[in-house]
Amino acid sequence: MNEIAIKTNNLTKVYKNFWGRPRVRALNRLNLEIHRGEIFGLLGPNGSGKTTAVKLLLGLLFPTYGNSRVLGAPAGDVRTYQKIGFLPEESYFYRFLNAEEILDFYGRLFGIPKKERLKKSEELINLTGLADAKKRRLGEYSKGMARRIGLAQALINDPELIFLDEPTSGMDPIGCREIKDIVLDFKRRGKTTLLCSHLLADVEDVCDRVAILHKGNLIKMGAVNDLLTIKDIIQFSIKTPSEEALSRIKTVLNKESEVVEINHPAETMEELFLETIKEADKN
Amino acid sequence: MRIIGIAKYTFKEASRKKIFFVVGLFFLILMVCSQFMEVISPEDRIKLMVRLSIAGMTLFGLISAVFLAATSLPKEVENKQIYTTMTKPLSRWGFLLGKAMGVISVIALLLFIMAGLCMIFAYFVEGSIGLNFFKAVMMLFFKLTLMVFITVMGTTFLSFSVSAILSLFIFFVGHMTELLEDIVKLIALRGEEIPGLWERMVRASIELFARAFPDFRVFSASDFVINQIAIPFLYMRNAFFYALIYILISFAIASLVFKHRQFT
Repeated sequence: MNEIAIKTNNLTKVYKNFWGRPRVRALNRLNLEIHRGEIFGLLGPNGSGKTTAVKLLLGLLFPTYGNSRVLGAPAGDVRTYQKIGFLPEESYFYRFLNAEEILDFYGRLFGIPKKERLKKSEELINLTGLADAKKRRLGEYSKGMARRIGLAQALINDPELIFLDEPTSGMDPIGCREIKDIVLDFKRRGKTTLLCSHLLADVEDVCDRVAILHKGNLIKMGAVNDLLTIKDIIQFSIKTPSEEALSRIKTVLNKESEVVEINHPAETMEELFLETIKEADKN
Repeated sequence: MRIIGIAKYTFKEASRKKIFFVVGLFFLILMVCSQFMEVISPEDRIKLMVRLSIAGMTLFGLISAVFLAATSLPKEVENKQIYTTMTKPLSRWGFLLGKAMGVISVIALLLFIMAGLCMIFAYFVEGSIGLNFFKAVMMLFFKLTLMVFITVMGTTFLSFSVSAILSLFIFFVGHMTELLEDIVKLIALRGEEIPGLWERMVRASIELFARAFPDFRVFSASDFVINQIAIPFLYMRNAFFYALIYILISFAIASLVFKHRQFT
């Protein structure tokens, strides 16, 4: 857990105009350490520098200042790509290929032997729920389906480290849940995930630690539980107490402290939706 | 294996654009037209066919080579497919080489189809086009391969349209080197009388064009075929190495530029 998968040192990116003059400071002195085996979330509003950070770590952009190391090698080292999976913000693939062909293509780029490629492609197509559409051209895919095939290609090499940029964008709640389950399974197998999102629920559900970026600056970082816990309030969960018991508890608590709120816990909308769909499928 | 993977899918993409069908159809129309042109003897018909087919192959081959090579990389960048491809364990020069190889394999197949159609027509007019014709096609292939690498080089730092125009410009200038050399000589003669700065500048510019751009006359073989003179092996070998030198220079520049390219 202590081994470092990603380390950035004052990583800065300034976009320049045609004349070489600074136009936008997209990322400003980012210092991060992401440990192996953890799910790390990069949070921030649009234009906060999340995607720029990912592109710098992948060698698609070069830093203006600072540096970064990914799996022990400088960012952009071609040999490191063998152990990396990447799902970009939007899924742009060869529109004339079908799911099997695109996975075969990417598998080939990793030097995976044909037999293994075919087996792995089949597994990933099933995992991402695209078995019925595997012969359809990607140009005919919906946005959600394109995200699924994007995730499949990111996993074709069984990577040690995976970069997911807005993995659930355009997906229905069932698809979102499936992607989150895949990410959690990935963690169980000791792999590292860097997840970029502006969907807070996604990050909260799966991430161990998060960093919040705003206008290119890192403004907060820490474990999700630590950041979300309200330390001066304690919550009790009691199963169906009688009115009398409740009244006595209130009296005791009011003597010692101020009771802020007593109410019934609520499901999240996602839980309600998934349960309702599951019930409907059963019937 | 990885470079071949890129080449294979570049070929696949081009073939799904129905390029073989379109070029084959136009070439077929050209061959049919040649049958209706008036000639004195059957030998003349064969000569006409060969002349037309080599011209047709050059034209269609050039358009296909420049169009496919010019769209290949910029389209990948524009459609952002490059994000996923460039984060795979494949060097940037390997990616460029794969792209060029894919386009070259399309050109090779196109030339094969057109040469095949020409042979079929020659069979029906009871003539033979002989080995010399295939040597000429091979020379054309060297020329078009060079054009693919020049165009790919352009796309590493220019847009699709500008690199296509630049490639065509190089192609036409490359066919006019004799004319350029004559102009240089003329200016030199005039310069002796009035050695002005302007003359020297113009002369230097034209000389630069004439020397820096490849001389495409090196690949010209249609005169050999029409006059039924066997294309010497030495001539072909020199053309091959001439193309190779320019290919290596173009590819080295392309790799260097592409290595430093960022994908925003």
